[in-house]
Amino acid sequence: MKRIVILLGFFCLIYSNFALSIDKVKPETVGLSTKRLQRIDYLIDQHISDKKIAGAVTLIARKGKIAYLQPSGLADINKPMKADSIFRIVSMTKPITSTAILLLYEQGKLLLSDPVSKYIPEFKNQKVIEMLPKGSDFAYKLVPVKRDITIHDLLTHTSGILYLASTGWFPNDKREQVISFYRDAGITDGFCRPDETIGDMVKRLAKLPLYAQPGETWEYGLSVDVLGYLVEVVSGLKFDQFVQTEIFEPLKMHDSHFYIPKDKLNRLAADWNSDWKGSLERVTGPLIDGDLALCPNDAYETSGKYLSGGASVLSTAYDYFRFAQMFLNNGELDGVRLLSRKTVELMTATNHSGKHDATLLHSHGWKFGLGFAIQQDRSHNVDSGDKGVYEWAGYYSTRFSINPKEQTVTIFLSQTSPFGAHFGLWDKITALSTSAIAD
Amino acid sequence: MKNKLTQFLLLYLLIYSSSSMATGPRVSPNMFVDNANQMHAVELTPFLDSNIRNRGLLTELIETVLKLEKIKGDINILPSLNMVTYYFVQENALAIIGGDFNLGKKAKNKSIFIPILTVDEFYYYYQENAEKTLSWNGNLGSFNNKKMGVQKGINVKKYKQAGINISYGRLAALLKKMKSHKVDFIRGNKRTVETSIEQYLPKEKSLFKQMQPKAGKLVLGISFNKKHPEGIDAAKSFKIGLRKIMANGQFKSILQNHLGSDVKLESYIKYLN
Repeated sequence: MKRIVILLGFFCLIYSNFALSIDKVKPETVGLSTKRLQRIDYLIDQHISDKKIAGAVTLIARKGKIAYLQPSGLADINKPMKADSIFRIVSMTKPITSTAILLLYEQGKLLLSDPVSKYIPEFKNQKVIEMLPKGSDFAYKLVPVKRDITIHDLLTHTSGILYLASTGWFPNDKREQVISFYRDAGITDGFCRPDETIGDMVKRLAKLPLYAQPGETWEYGLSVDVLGYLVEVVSGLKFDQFVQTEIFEPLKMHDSHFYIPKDKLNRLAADWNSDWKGSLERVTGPLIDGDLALCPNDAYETSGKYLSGGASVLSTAYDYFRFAQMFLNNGELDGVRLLSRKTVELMTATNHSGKHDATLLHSHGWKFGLGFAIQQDRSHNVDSGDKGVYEWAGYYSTRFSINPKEQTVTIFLSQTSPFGAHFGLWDKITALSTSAIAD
Repeated sequence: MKNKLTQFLLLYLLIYSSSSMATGPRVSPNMFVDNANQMHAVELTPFLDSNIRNRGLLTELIETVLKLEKIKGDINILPSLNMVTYYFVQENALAIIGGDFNLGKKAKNKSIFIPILTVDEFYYYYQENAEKTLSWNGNLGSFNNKKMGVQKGINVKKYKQAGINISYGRLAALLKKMKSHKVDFIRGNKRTVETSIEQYLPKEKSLFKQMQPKAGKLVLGISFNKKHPEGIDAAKSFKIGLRKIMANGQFKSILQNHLGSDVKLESYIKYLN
């Protein structure tokens, strides 16, 4: 009996060490400067002591090796941040969902040029809103689409489908009218987890008017949630099952989930409301601002129906590094090939959305590929990086950036609301990580 | 000659095979042509619901009549009442289907409404939140200062006049708002409310309470559009067909298939003339 207890104890020790052990290399071995990377410590620590953020995990990798992985501050009240803390990565889910679609594309199960209505009939014969001159009997009219939405439109956010929250970002009458239909139909942005399936929501959304003709605008919205449902229809599996077996398991992303397992609840970092002037409060309830509804505490739910392809995944810096590194390796990681090199090239090409720039997080000079924004040239105000850098972000202030030229991955995960305030910090992190390159 | 014929055949095969095998958007005429005989309805489970058998009781009844009378019409169930009214008012759709359309005077004048079913409506509340503070005596004034959950597009004039505050949402959202006490009560028919509670809040089923006396009735039917080229004739034929399926037992049979064999036809047509 005593032997069994000792054996169990030994097993637990090994297991817990295994769970937490992440191989790091000396930065100099991959052409990074330790001293310069330490500047990121000071930057983050300063933001924590100024009570702008409660805590963060920052990861910098080069040439496939992690050179910097730093947990800082608090994950929750009286709970220090750890390297394996779990974060709501929200819109950083989108590249994962796009990858799921590209996996089906590689299996010959769909073409990016296919109309979505081929798989989800509700998308047939959609209407597009056109506003009528002020003083008309009716404020708008609905005109037929010139062509059906394609899977490519959804991947590039050129479908004409919106986020409700966009009424706050870019207010205008046309947008307000489309969103009023979304509200009537109970469409949500998916940042709070509704008690329905993604299919229920997508089928209603399909019957509502589009903001613009497919392919004629770039509008960040629920397009990737539609893709999540498309994965279900095409694969015959629930969306989370598909992602689990086709992406998380092969890439050994053991801490990535749509709903957190009970035994990992204590690793989930809390969300904090910050005014970036020294007032920092742990968020306890929903954050509602007009049409923007955020429910950070929904992440504590251990099960549920809603699987948002645009927002639902919870993950760690290490797991997301593995996902990002797969792209840097042209689709392969640790001997497992997830995507072909040609598919990665396709996803990171900058000519998918024509003249439209991905101007939500960045400015002109960034294009949207199939899942990320890609730096097309240097004619913009983002300080660091190179042409070809691709990145995206999540609503609770999470970011990632992949630089194929320098073979770097930079990940910053915090849980700070509101979203836009951390941009300056992120730009500094990318500037410091880039300037740590020493070869 | 033979050569030319061969060349022609080869060219034909080439064109034919490339067009049939081409990838890219599958362009078909129906992607661009509006169906001229569209009938729009707003979701109302279990009467109009794309996710249930034959898209619901009312859909099946109407489609049965359409088929019998050879009336061309496609039923399109939408999630927004405002879209349904838009299609009727602005695009002169052949017909709209449902109940409380809240059409303006102008639109009412161009409508030929044919009632098909009636259902009693009641007020509902969530026991834990509103039992002690809510009373209903048949007069809307008894809800003064209370918050009522209403679907967007429904006429709320009489409720506002009675001093009732309005909160908009779909039924599923309103049930949750009642539970979280953001709304005090809603109005609805028993079938729809109970089906939705079963679907969205089954554990709390016993906590949703129906108030007596009944709030009124909802007449479900089809409104044909006089402005549509086939609207008036279609309405006439539809009335004849409806009478036929009532007489031959089809109406009752469809009703019982959807709502159960113990359902009495009379209770669903009692207010119809």
